[in-house]
Amino acid sequence: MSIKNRVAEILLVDDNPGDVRLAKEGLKESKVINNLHVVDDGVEAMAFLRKEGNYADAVTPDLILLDLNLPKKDGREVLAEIKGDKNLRRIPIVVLTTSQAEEDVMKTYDLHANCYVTKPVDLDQFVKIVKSLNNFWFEMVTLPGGDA
Amino acid sequence: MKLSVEQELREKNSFLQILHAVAVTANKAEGIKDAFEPVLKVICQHTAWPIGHAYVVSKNNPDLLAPTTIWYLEDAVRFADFCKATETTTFTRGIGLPGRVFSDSKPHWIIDVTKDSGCLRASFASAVGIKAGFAFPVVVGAEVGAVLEFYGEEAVEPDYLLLEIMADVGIQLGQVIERKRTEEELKFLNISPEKRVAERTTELKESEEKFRKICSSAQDAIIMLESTGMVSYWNKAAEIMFEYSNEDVVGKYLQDLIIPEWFKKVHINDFKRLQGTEKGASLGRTIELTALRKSGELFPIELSLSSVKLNGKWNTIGMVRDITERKKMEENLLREILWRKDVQEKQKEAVNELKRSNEELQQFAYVASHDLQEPLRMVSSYTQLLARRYKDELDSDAHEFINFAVDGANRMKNLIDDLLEYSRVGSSGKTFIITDLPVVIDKAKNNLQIAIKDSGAVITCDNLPSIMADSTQLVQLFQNLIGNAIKFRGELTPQVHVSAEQQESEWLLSVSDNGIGIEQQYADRIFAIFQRLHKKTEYPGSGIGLAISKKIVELHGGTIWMESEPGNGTTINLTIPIIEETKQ
Repeated sequence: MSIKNRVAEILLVDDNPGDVRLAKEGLKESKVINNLHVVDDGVEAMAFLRKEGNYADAVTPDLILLDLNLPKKDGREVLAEIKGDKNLRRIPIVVLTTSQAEEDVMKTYDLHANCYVTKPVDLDQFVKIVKSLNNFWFEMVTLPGGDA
Repeated sequence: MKLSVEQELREKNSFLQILHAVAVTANKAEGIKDAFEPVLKVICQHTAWPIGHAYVVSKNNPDLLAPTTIWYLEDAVRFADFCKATETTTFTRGIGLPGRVFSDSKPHWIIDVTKDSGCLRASFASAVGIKAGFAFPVVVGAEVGAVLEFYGEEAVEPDYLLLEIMADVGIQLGQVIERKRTEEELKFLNISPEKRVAERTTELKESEEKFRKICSSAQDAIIMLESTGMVSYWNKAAEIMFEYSNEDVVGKYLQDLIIPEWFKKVHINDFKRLQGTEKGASLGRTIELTALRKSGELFPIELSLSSVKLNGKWNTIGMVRDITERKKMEENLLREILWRKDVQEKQKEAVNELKRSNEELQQFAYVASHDLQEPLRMVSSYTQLLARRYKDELDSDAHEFINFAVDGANRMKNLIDDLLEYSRVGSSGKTFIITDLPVVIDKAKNNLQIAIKDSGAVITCDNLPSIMADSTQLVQLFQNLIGNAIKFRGELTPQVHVSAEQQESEWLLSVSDNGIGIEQQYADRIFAIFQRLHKKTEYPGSGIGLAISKKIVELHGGTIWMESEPGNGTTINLTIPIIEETKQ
């Protein structure tokens, strides 16, 4: 089912307000229309995805941007959990994180992340990435079916 | 001739006296011959009979009379044939004159032997003119041992007086013979009784001497205990070892001498048991004990025990070896072994420590760089955002300031990345495998594709060997070196050549270029971390490349150095020790 008929829903899991703001600014600059939902730790992320508690009315995101270094539940754990959940594993996950360590990359792909992106230092680079992600996932890629 | 009684007696007397003298002489004689010859002589001369001869009972056959060469002959030439015949004639009991004497142990007289049918030598006798004959026995013990025979030229009636005297003579001679025979026997045995005792004593002395010498020259102490436990033999080595002289110990109990206090009871019990059963726990074995010297010094010994029976009693013989030296050596060896084990343990520990420390550092480096990146990004990104968002409101100074700030952040990012890379070199800890250098160079070239294309660089190499190494690290190494060669090029198209030379125990590899070169005085510094010789604007790079290269070379056990001249290119030399290939 194509996204073109509706606004893309993106879940951003990141505990760094600086990075969150950057992402927002990046999206703004890239002039992409989407709804950005933000949670700042792994537990919240799972609750959101499972529509538990406060998140009873949450939408199912079309794309998850996941930082690896999260408090409480670590990003890797979240990744494993989502990809291990029958109901959630179809959602594409872009791991967007600081580390470029090989082990992290390997492990992330082992846990079936859809892709791995290192957050750049340069702002321009960052904006480029955000734009590319949007282009790729929402205009080129065929996503799996709508709300479960 | 008939004599008066007086004359007869006088004659007999003188005859007997002479014979007595002869008998005495005979007694002193060495052999039968020396005994009989004078007797024959006296008798013949006194009786004026020309022939006297002795027959003796054969040693081999007691029933046979054998002729001897013992003669008295008035005329040896005249009677030669008779003598010859006699010396080949033996007599058994009853045959001939000697035989008759032999059979009844009495003297006999034959008036005319030529007329006597029993005489075996009758013909010879008549041939030489012999007529009468008489013989008497020499009685040894109860038996006839010899027969003395005499022959005359005239046929004469028996002289019974003579025969009587002869009988006496025979008895006396017999006694002499008996004595002589014993001596003969002894002589036959080659030994006289005194001589025999003397020789036996010598034998014993020699034997004793031999064993005494063996015992006294022995290095080990030899001690013998009687069945009571008292010392009965104590050799020279024992004297030296235990510092007790022979006089000190003989007749004393061993436990009072060399046995340490705590062991006395055991020894006494064991010894008692030994006596009872003729077997002790210690017999037939070699055991290690502690003994006591006279001075009070305790020392370790090795003891072998055995039992011997002498005069029906059991004696114990102990051979003792002082093993103080050996024990010292054993102790030293043991200590050495323990020390070595300890060293090994310590080494293992040290290695583990290093490993742990290494891992810690790695982790630290990873975490540090990781956590450093994030604030860095904040600084950099938001500075840039500022510039963008407030572009119109900022003057050129502000923009310049912002540029410096952002640039600083970028460089910091690079530094962190480089540091991380440096710390991670060698962290994989892969074992060395056979690595094809040509393949390594190809991989490195592959990774430098763009740089090579852009610069038009030409990369050549010698016949490169295969070496035992970490292949990933080698790729990194050569990528660095070749990359540098390309980067630091001058006006000319970069030419890079990789060569190899086998030396005694290592490979000498070289990467030479025709680039800008550097002054030799900076050649060492250049391998330090972050050391740069050029402004950042001239040539990019944080200066970590060579530091990483050096680390890789050193991880392989080699050394790296540079030869260079400004304007004349650079050669980086490195050695890698040759390792025996191991099967994978």
